[in-house]
Amino acid sequence: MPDNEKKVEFEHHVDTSELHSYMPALVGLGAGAFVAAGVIFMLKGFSLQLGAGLVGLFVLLIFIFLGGEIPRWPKITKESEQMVKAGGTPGEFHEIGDVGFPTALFILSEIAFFGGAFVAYFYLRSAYAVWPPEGIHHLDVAIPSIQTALLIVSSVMIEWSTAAVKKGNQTAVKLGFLGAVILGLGFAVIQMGYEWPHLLSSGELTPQDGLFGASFFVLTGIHGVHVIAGVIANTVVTIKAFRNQFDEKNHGFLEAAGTYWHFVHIVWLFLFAFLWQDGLSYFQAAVA
Amino acid sequence: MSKTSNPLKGIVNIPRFGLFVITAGITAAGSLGLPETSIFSLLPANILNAIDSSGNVIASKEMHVLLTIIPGFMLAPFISFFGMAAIFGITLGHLVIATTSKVGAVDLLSPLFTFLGLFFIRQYKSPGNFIGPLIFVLVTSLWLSYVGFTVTGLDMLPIMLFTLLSQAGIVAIGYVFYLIAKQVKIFN
Repeated sequence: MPDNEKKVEFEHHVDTSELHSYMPALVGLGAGAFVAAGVIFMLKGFSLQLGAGLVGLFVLLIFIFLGGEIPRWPKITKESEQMVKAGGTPGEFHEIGDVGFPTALFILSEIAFFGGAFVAYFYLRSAYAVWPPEGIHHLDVAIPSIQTALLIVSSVMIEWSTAAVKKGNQTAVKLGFLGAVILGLGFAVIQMGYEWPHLLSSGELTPQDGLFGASFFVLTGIHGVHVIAGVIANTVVTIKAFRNQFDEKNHGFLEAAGTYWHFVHIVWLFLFAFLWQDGLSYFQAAVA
Repeated sequence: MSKTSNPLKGIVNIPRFGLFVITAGITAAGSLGLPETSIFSLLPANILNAIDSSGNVIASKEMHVLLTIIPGFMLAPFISFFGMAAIFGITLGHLVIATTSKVGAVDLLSPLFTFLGLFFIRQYKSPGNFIGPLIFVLVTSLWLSYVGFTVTGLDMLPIMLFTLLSQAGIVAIGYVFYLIAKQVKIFN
């Protein structure tokens, strides 16, 4: 179907005026207030009232957002389904202007985020002649090895789904993403339900154990949050897959979620190398 | 916007991103997760002694590290199926491994030679061709031999033989899997 016809059909099924919303600005303002509150709380001699006020503003804006958006969700879902049935969803994944380009931009922003975290880690680490510092317990590689295996298999399942959706194999799409959700949950449970409690309760490693302990929990924590976000995104894809909302033409969201999951996977490889295997420690003495 | 009026159309093509990540993951995980296994622990003592009669190379801690098998190299022959995404993936996986190398910062250059070797596999990918994997083995072995020689200062000949055996062994296993995969048309 030509682009202009697709657009007309899309607009026929959806009231596009609803796509123009003040909500993103509202959420952005709330997020800004929350970050500002965090900075104020970390400053010496901070103003408790100002920080609490900003947190209050953040909570208020989030409630306004949820209050305004949640009642619209059933309608949006219904319209989305109608749109898919009509074949009107615009979206070849890899084309500029469709899902692929914003996904690539989002991934670039995530690379900047984790890049910054790793740079901070290595900058702080450079003050030490030996890494990990003496007295720090060496972490067992068995658990991250299992987690890596879970991520590899989940990435394979997502690739299987992605290939399957282009051939119209709905069963493979459903099973692939369902498997990825289960494996992703397994990853999060192993980390936050087993490894962290084990390290903390045994005293092997805690956030109070100097820079290594703090770095370990911060870096694995922010990665863990991304894993949970990926699991949520994959769950949404799975639900949509079970409602047959993807086909050979319309699967941009599926590929975007899969791409995000692959990114989470690749960050993990660096975390494994840097935190469990003391990656780049041969530069330690030179820069200390 | 039509294709002709949009010069940026198609420039972002990331559906192969998954393949890149999977090959990077397998390559990195194979070495990060599995215990260090070098060719010295796999070859029988009489063969080891025949190659290194002085025993200096076998005793060298650095050579043990250098000759640690990278299971991910079993993927090398599969470049014929997977193309550039897998070349970049395996190279990135090797880079992740190199950050943990006990040999030193010089090992960070090893992924460049891996990339070069993999590229030859892609260039000579006609059916049944083993020239590509052979060049991969030669390129990576020569580099590892050079690193081993400069780091340890030991005899070049036994170092070269051990690195050749190590690389050839792992790629040969991968090549067998590649032939099987081709036979059963699993990637068609």
